Amino acid sequence: MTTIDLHPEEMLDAARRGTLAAGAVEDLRAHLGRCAACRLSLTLPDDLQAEGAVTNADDALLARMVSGALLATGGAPRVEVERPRRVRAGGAGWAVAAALFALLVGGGGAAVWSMGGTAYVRKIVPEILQLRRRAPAPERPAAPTRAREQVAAAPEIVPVVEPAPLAPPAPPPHLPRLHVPLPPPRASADELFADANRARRAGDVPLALRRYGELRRQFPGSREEITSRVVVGDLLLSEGPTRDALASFDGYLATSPNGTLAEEALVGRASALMRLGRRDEEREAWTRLLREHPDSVQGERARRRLSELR
Amino acid sequence: MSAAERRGGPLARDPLAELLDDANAGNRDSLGRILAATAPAVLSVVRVILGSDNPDVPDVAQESLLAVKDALRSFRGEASLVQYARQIAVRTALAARRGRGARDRLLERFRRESAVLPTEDPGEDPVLRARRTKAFRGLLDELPEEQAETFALRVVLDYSLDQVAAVTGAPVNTVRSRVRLAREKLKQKIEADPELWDVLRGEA
Repeated sequence: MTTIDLHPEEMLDAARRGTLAAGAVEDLRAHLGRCAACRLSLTLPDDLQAEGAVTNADDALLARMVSGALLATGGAPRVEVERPRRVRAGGAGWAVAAALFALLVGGGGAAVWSMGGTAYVRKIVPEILQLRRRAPAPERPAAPTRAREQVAAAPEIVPVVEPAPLAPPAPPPHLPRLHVPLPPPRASADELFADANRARRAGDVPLALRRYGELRRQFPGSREEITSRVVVGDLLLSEGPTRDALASFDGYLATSPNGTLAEEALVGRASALMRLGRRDEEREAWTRLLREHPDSVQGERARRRLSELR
Repeated sequence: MSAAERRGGPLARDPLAELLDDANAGNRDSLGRILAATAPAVLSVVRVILGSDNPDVPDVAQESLLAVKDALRSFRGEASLVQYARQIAVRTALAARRGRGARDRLLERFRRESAVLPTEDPGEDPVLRARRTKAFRGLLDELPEEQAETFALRVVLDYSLDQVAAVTGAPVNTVRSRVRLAREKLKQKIEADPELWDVLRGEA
């Protein structure tokens, strides 16, 4: 077993920081072709950073954390820390903490405070990025020199390697080929929305979410895209991370507080907050639903939940 | 983490550290500023280690910030104060995960970690990302304590082997060995999970 086989920690670091020497790229590529764990590790920090992102939606929680830590200083009995308590908003301590937090971290805008600073994975050597996007092919023959020169001279030509299975039985080898990506035909917002809805109705949630995502990127602010936020919120509420469902409902309500789907968005928002254990905000959400939609079919549920939250 | 920190180079001046003496002397304003500045880092790390949907995140984040406050007197300026807070959060969250692991694992079986809205990188598939991070958290539950901490510092905080060694007090070769064992375990885990295997083949 060579050094490469023993997981090239320094090479992985260098690849992530964009400092991998050109001569080491093939070595690392060869290792990554064999080692799924290193391949996963190469992208994990960015995956985790995305998952751990702290946004403005967390301001209340952060203020409570700071307030709780301050309250535990001196005055509050230290023993309570043993099992952390949920610090309720209110009182001078919370106000001080909130003010401090607002002062230091900032309030408005859509800034995302992320765990690891800049997303330096973008500096990763292009070849490694290629591996990240497509699974590496073990024992892949090196691309012909001529083809590689063409890649360097014409950035729009991207070498594409068919993903090869990494487990036995070994697949027939795939030869690298050059692929000139053409711009995909641009569907209209209406068509994309219809495609996404078809996928959703067929139960293909990942495909539906990809289509809704395309709609969001290509036609932000369109009627279909705004409507899709509630649909996406519902999908994520049942099948995906609750925080993202909440963000989707909030996105709809921020744009269309009186829209035709506002009632559904409010119910979704309250449900997401309930699942996240954000009781104060959940209480406000149910209260708002009853105030703005007193005849809501979810009115009884809202009232029942509000009584539980008292 | 600054570029200098990542490379293990000299640290830039840390304005937060300048508040430390006051905070340790009982100045609540300085303490509040330090806590407010470190809280987002703490929350982010806790969210990563427990999972963003884990209902224990607020409590463990609170617990971690208290641990940061309690550890301020031990801060020796070897990293920035925010990095120091992240290290403490890693340890606190891992301990919480171990303590609550059985329940978490049960919950996670019923919680499909799938799609999220595309955010920074429209080319990235959030479904696949969630599966990868789920595998990482599953690994943390299966590794011995030292390996889990070492691997978490390496992956969550993106520390080099030298940096992990400095934080844990273990020799670099020990750190390397722990990381290698963690990677081998991860490899086995991937190979035993057809869904994850598919994800890593890019076919999902």
